[in-house]
Amino acid sequence: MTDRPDRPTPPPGGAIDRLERLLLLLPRAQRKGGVTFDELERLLEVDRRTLRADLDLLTARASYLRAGDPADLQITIDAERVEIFSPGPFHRPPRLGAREALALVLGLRTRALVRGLADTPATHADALLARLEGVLATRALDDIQPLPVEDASARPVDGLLRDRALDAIAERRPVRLRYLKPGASDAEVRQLHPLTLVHAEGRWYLMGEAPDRPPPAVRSFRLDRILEIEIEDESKPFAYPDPFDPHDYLEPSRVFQAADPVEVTVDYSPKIARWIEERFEGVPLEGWGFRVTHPVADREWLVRHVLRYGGEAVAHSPGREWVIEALDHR
Amino acid sequence: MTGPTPTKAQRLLDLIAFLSSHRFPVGIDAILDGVPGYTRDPAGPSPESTRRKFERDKAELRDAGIPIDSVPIQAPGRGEEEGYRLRSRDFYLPVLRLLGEGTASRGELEVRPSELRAALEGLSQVVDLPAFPFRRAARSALRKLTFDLAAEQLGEAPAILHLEPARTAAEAETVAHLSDALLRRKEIGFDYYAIHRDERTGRRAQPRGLLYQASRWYLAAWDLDREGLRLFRVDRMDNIEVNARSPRTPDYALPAGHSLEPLRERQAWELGDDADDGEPIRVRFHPPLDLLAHRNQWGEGDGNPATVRTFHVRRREPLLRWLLGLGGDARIEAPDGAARELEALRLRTLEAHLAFEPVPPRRSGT
Repeated sequence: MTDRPDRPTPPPGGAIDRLERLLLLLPRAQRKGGVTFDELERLLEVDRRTLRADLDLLTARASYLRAGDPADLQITIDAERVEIFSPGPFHRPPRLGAREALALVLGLRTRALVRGLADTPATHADALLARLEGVLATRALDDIQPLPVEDASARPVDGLLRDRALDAIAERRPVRLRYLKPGASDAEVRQLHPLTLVHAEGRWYLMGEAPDRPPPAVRSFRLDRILEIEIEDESKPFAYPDPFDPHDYLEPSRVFQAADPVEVTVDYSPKIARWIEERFEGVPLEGWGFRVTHPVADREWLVRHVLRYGGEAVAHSPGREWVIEALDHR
Repeated sequence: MTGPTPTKAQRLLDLIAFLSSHRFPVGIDAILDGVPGYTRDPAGPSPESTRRKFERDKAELRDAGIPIDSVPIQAPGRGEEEGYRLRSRDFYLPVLRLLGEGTASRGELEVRPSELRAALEGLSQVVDLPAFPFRRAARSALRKLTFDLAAEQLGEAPAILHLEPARTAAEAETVAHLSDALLRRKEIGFDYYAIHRDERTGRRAQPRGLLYQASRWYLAAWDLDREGLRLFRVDRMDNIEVNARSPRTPDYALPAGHSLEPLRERQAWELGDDADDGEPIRVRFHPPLDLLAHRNQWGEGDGNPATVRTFHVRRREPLLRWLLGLGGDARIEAPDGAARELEALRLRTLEAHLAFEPVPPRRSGT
């Protein structure tokens, strides 16, 4: 195959990807003063090389369009920005298509569930969608019902607390939590500057800074163990820690915070080994099941974890003694 | 035509520009003459293949949400034929004006700030959902809806973080594949690993929905061989094949009133025959566990005192194991048989730990 020097190098992605980027780039660059490359990179979530390739694709059209073609564009590019003049088309982005409308509906429903806004989140989302119908392409609504995709990670029973947490985060208001720590004999009240809600491994956590602990005091609380969230409306908004990246306090795919974790090995019987192998990394055992070594921040977690498998999971020391103590005291 | 041949992206852009610059529907001849990517070249492809190229482009643009209408027009000397139209008012997003910020002009759409915030928050949430099949569309919708807004009007970013499970990247492709079949209502065939039976079997099914729960994606589908609704874990599906016959024609319709609601997070002890109400098991939660039982609505409360709750159980064993995991603060009050089983489970687990002698790991290669 020979090179075709007269044809611009295609930017990454398929033709529809490129077209969608161009349909957003064009109206933005037609504003007075144009648009900077930095802004376009943020807007389109692509790098400078891709932007350049997209613009090459636009400028190359001059080589085949007839003079005076209404589709012809005047394009000015300097080191920082691009400005485009169009005699007619592409002055606005397109309306939302069917998939975008579907994403919007799913987003509204997910939000309603997360916020615990209504017992019938579908109705709530539909009402909002009806108000936003003017942004949809004419065909979009026909194509999006009935809805086949759902985020069921947000349990309705948590709705009110999640809603309060999100309000407190948005308004930067301190909160007081009634929290039942695993193994505690009663709930305790904790002060928190809430920063983010985290969903991991099927559970929700409220992460924030504990103002009554020496910094850095970022803590995560399991939402299903929070009994109450009281927003301190009278308090001043707290200062958002800067810089703050929640990932600095999390493992890549789970919430795990421990200053000094203990390693505990657990053997799982052949009856349940298949499920365990799906969830954890470990080693198969000679003639009997599967072995996993867990970093343990909380002894109660290990005990509950082992007990949930009945006699099909057995912990090595020191977990073995913890489990025996928990079972023997009944 | 002289000069270079336009790329496909250029041709699609030119087609949109051409159609949107005509107030009235245009026929196929005008399009093939007016859009450089189709312009007839004596040395180029046949008129039939050029026409097919236009048909493919039109279909792709419609799939991408570009509302190209087909309308009958009168062609000189040929009578009625199909014409094509892309009306500006259908194509372009109206200017979004927040209520209370000046008066909307003609062609502008007034939206309440709270509604727009809700839309942006919802879209951001699904963009962050691991392996969400419409992530690209959600991102694109976000960009469009924020097109007219200044940064200060957008408010704070939503404060929800989904941690991606390590397997998500591999799962994303499968979920996207399934969502495509689901939207087009196409039957699928796949291999499924049934972990309870430790066997892999071929299945045929009609996708009914996709559910994200407990940080995993599930496909709800009508199993054509077992004639029942089943929930399949996506990471246990392999070799998925979508019925390739009549790709633009649905293979089935979703039943009226179809909802994924009944499939949302069910506990292991609730799984089973939906016609069976389940055995009622009454459990007393001692303080402080009663606080969690009430907070999380475990089972059904019996009024005051709220410490006794009733579970409707189709499979006893998962409930017993769950109760054991809660420690001695959860006790079965009734029936006696279930209480005795829980006690036997406790003793068995205790015995397993007292008598435990670890075995060595399996040697590699065995």
